[in-house]
Amino acid sequence: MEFSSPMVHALERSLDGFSLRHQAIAHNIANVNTPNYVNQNVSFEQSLVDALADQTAPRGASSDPLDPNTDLASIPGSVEFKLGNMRPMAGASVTDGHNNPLLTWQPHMVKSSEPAQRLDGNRTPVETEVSGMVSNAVKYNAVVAVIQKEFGILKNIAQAK
Amino acid sequence: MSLDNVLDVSASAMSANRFWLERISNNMANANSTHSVAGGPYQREVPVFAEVLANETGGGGGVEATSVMKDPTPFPVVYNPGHPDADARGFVRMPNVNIVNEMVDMIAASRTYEANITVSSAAKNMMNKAMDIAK
Repeated sequence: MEFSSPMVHALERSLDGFSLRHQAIAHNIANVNTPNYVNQNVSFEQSLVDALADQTAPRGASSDPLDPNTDLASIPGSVEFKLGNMRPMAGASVTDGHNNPLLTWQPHMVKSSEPAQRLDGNRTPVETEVSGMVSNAVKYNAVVAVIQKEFGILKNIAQAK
Repeated sequence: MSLDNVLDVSASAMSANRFWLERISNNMANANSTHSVAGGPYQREVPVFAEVLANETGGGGGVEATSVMKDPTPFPVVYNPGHPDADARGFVRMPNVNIVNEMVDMIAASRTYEANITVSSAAKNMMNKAMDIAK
């Protein structure tokens, strides 16, 4: 029996994304006085949703989200968790890692394309960074709370309450 | 991937800003020094900050004060014939340190330091929250 559900794995990956975003924000705030610094962003949500969509697609089916035969959530940007369609993450899937987009998925930092607003060529808007940091931390905590609930359910089942 | 890197990034920024604050205090201390090691009046020192790359592909390593530059602003000339460094016409070249500018820089340095403390304490809270999963 697989103990932790694929959803927990997906949530763990999103924690990776939020951690990297926090690092990018820390880097931007650290460089608030560095001339000509170009700030970095992490936008991982869409690529994670794509990786999840690839993962939830049935084996052998097209992984092209535009293909009507692809069994994906019909709403763009959302992924339906169908446990039957989920590939197992643990055990066998480790050797299968190259085929499992969720296992190889990684968030990335990207340089901002916004024009410089300041005379020293620095592109870090401190206020935006701080508010981004706060909302990032809230989302991180929310994901942690969901993982906690998930394990709470498993704990209840294990104790046959 | 972990939040440990965030603490390193914020720590690098805190030490860079402490270094800036040291230069500011040195500038203010020498606001009236008409003698320097290099000869002539004291020249204002400005640290140069540079981004540190975490790896060869991208940023995320924080910030570093790479060097200290001398401010090239001309020295103000003050008429003070009683000063031992006064020239034949009674003019003294004073350091190019403006106390008001230094105060403004000091506020910027300490606010930046605080901002980085905020970031690292947010990272700490997130790490503590993640520890709660094990509860």
